[in-house]
Amino acid sequence: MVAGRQGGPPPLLREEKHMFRTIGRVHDRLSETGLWLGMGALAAIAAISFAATMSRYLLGAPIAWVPDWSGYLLAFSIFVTAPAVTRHGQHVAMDILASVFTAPWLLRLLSLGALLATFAILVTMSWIVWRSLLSALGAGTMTAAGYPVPRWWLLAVVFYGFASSALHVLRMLAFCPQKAGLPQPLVETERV
Amino acid sequence: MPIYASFAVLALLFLLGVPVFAAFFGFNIFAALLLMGPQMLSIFPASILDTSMTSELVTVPLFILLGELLFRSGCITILFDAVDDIIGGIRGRQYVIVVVISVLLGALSGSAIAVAAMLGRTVMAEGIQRGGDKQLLAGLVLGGACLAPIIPPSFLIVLIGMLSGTSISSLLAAGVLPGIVAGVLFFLYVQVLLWRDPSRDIERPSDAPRGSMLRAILSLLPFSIVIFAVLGLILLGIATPNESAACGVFGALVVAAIYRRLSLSMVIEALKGTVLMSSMILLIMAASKILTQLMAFSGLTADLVALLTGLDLPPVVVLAILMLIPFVLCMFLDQIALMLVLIPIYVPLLATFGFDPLVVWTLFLLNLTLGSITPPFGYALFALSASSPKDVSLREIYAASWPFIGLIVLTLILVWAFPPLATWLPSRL
Amino acid sequence: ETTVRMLNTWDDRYPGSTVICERYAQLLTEASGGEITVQISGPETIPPLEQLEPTQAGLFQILCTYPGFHTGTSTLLTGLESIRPDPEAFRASGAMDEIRDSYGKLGLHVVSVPLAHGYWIFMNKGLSEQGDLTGRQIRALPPQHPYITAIGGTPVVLPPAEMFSALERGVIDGALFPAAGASGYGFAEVADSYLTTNISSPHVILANQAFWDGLPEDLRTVFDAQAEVLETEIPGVYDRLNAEEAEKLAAAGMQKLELDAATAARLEEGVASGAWTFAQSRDPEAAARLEERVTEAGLLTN
Ligand code: NA
Ligand code: NA
Repeated sequence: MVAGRQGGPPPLLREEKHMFRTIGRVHDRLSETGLWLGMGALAAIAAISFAATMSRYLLGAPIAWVPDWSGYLLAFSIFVTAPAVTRHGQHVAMDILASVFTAPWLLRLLSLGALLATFAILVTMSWIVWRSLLSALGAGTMTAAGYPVPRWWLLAVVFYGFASSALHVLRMLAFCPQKAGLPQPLVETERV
Repeated sequence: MPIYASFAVLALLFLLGVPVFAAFFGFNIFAALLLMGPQMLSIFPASILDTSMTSELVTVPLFILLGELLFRSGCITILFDAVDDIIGGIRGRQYVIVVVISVLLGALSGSAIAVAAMLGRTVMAEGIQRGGDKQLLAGLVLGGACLAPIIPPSFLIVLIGMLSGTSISSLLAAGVLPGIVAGVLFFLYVQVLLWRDPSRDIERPSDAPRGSMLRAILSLLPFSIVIFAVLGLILLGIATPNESAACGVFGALVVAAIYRRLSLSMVIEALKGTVLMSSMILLIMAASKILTQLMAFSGLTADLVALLTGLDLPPVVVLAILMLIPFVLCMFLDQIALMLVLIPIYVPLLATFGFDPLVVWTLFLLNLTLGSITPPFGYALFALSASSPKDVSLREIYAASWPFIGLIVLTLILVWAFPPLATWLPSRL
Repeated sequence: ETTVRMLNTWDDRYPGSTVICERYAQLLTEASGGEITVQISGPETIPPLEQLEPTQAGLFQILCTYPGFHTGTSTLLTGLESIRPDPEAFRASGAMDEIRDSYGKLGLHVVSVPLAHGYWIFMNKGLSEQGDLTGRQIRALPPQHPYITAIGGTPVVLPPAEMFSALERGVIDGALFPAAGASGYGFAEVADSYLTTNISSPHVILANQAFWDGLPEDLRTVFDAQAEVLETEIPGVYDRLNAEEAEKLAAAGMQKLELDAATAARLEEGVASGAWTFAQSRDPEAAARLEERVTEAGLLTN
């Protein structure tokens, strides 16, 4: 797709264009849903931690599962939100070269390089997590905690975080060439 | 050496502009393959889960949420105005307010990263809105964040005490005076800077009359709910530092209600900002945890320490080296993991060279956090960049950090030259 | 020459790091006349709770750890918290066969199970009027909660980093923690008394199965013989460590608390039922067989 882009985009058939746009919309909506789930998880962490503190201090009745579940919810919120972070261009990147060089073609080349490298790294991470997910699923491994949950639940969210972020980067590579010259390479939309 | 080749790859990825977390993961993949081959990759998912489920890290999003709520409730604006009325007409008073508020809010948390993110969202945004100098504000915020771990409460102090066998309560007390010294240095720096270039000062809008001292103090009362919810509950033994962060969030909701700013949409916006930011920060921490593990596996960390401490050098030079190691390594390594590696190696050296543990560990802690505000890898820089208004770039934040790194190094030298700064207060307990 | 990569769960604060992990490495090297050298990596390389997988994958050949750190995969050995640390009776009981069968299914060979006197409860508030933990909030890992409730206490879950400040400020009234090395962790500063218990602390040394199967016969003999040497000396070493610990705590002004006979019996029952209930959560049949073996050998009574 990248090679095609650099040599002039191959003419896409109308239906193909339509199909890509639909997939893109579904993907975006999924990432926004993830953001809402991440917000819910964070609110839940705050609520259960507060409730547990009050229950322990005022009622002398600690809620033992709260620390373990705060951890699970934290991991969940980090990775279920990650695709939205990527989509909204909220990752921090160095902008040293982009601020030194100003030639548009050079900036675009830098951007393409950054997006390609990011994509390759995220795909590799997705693959590494996927293998671990399969082995945890096969062995039935639980978390080493007082209130264990199957490890593959958490690894599935981690996998989703990497894989969906990778897809966002791929879409930036393929469909946002005009945006690929911004100082912060992953800025796709305005910061929220 | 494979580990050096991997650092070259990391530098290349950073230069290209690859997001920081992805660049760290790139380093990790490359280093793992070179060090051991593909089977080394199998440690990544476990380490990612280990970091992202750490209950201590729950404080990071909770403190960011606290900052978001305080900012959106108008609390920070009121805090600015009130401190303004109280301190009166000195030069650069708006910056002095930033110093005071940074130290005050910094005291609430033990994490430089959480504080940098919270201050970026609150004090920095408010200061810029008031026409402040972006770089000076960013520098002051970084300086304030750097003090967070040495002003009690701080879980890093507890960890040092645990690892080194030093009295935790003495260590907590030891950090107070150096923290104040650093705050005074920040104040003097602002004075000198504005004396040389008065145009950088923020002038209070002339239509806003100065309020009375009493009204200013009254307007701070709701804010004290938050201070109590965080610090008071810890000091009274009602909550642990982790739990107090959640109580602080609840306190911020109460304060927002008092200011009549509490609404579902406000809470949703605060949650959205928090979760995007903490996801980005914790991804970097997860990636850098693996980097630390790989460095330990390669033996580089231990080699560096052994090499530098094995030389036959006078005590002053040894101390300088002991301080240089955490400063350099903490720019890109996980603080807690680094403490696990270094402290056991340092403990016997302190006895050998006759260093005072309170002085050395206070310096060590300042150095650790100094690493987190030092370009190019310091976490707090990334956290501030992500949380500050979007027209503040990472490059500007880098530039802003250097004078304050200098001031903290000066604090380090002062503590070393006048050990009572660290030892006097603990001796009075 | 064979170089073995060993993963050690502990940093130097826990004496087991030295007297179990490093000691076994030294025994191997000495007994093999230098043919076996052991390269040790610590928890800074792989976090304690995540160490089983890299050993299963062969990244490390030997893992020296505490069974409580891999309860997501196997809970079997936590049952041994209820037994008397008596290595001879333990070996004679045939318990090791059951343990090896169970871990064998996970791709791991059990090299050694060193048993030690384990846990004390560090308190900042003395015992209750009833002479037990009634009304006391005690930090403990969830599998050990039945021990606390058996003598009237309320168990609390706290991350390790928060345990000390929580004790110091009185957020909690006590914490169940390994006795050996306790003063090194700073308990003497945040607590003023301690309650001794007979709860044992099983440790385990595991080998990657493929590595074990590939070892030449003579080297395997060295591993087995030195495991026996280690297991035999460990209870005595821990008696010494715990006595030293008691001296240090006394020097720091800490008071030693003891349960009366009836309460101690309640605790013993709580430990036996709690430890084996939890042990059964992953491989119930193996746990039931192991419990039978150690019960028949009379290891459950102190
Ligand atoms: Na603090
Ligand atoms: Na920014």
